[in-house]
Amino acid sequence: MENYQKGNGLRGFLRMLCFMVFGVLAFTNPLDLYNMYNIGFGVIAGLLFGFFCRLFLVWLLGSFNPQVKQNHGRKAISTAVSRGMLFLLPFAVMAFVSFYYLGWYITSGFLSAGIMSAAASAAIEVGKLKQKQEIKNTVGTSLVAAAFSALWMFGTGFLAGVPGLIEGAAEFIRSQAGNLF
Amino acid sequence: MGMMLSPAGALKGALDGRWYISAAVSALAFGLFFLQTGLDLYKTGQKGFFFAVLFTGLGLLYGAVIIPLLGSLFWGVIKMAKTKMSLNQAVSAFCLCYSGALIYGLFGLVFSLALGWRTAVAFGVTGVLWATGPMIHTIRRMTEGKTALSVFLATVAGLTILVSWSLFSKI
Repeated sequence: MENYQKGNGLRGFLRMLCFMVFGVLAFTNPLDLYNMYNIGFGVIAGLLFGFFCRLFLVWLLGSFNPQVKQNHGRKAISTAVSRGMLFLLPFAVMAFVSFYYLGWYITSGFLSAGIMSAAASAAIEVGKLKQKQEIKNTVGTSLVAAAFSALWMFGTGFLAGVPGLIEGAAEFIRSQAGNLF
Repeated sequence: MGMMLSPAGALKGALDGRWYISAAVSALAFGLFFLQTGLDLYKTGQKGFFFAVLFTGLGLLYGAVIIPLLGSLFWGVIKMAKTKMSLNQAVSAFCLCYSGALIYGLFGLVFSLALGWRTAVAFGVTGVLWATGPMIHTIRRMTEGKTALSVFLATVAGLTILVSWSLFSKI
């Protein structure tokens, strides 16, 4: 089991990096590529989204497979999900290149395909631990991934104006502070 | 469909099969993808209908030649990771990763022709993206569990296809 968990730190870092990339790409304005408010908000949104997505997958696979925890330890399911989420990496790289090199500014399709693949892989990883692949795990994780994918598409559209509001508020505070001092 | 639902199971089948059937799958997948690109450009008035036909031919060629070539290159790389698979088996499995793209291509063509939608990105690119997961599983199986190498090669494959398709569509 120790061997199975080896590399969890690096996997966690790469997973966070992927979600940060998706967040930045979702909130970056193509006409103002290096706006720090958009980038900062994108990083936070991506990380929060990734955190909850992983949490739900761990919870779902844990509740479907209680015997995996008993046989392989408390962290077995979360390690399996972390291993599955490594599958996000190619999608994040492709989304990044598509955005900055090819000029395709709608990158939600990359995230959708990425989290669907990652979720299916997490289910396969759990199947490896049980030495038996089960359709309920694949279907369950796919449904969670589909729900999160839809949430991302609607959520990013809904929150698109937030970085601008934060920037406006920050500018206002800065101007008021300038008047005071 | 099998490759999308159970890559390992489909791969076992592919290894017993003939490589040219797998190459036909990727040829059809890319033929449909490029046809939709041509149709999109035709609908927006950027290119003529003849271009769409020509582009379909280019797609078929791409799927039948470039994808197996990419598969052979990858086989060369995974050979260094001591794979036991033959070149034919590797090329077959690599081409079969695009079976999901073939299904997306069929749906995209229906939507393009019946509803007049522009489908190259929504269905075509999505289909190519959906090949990434099965490809990682396939390479991982070939290399007996080398995830980092599988992720790296799948990224290279995805990027090669997206960038080359983008360059071709600007011709």
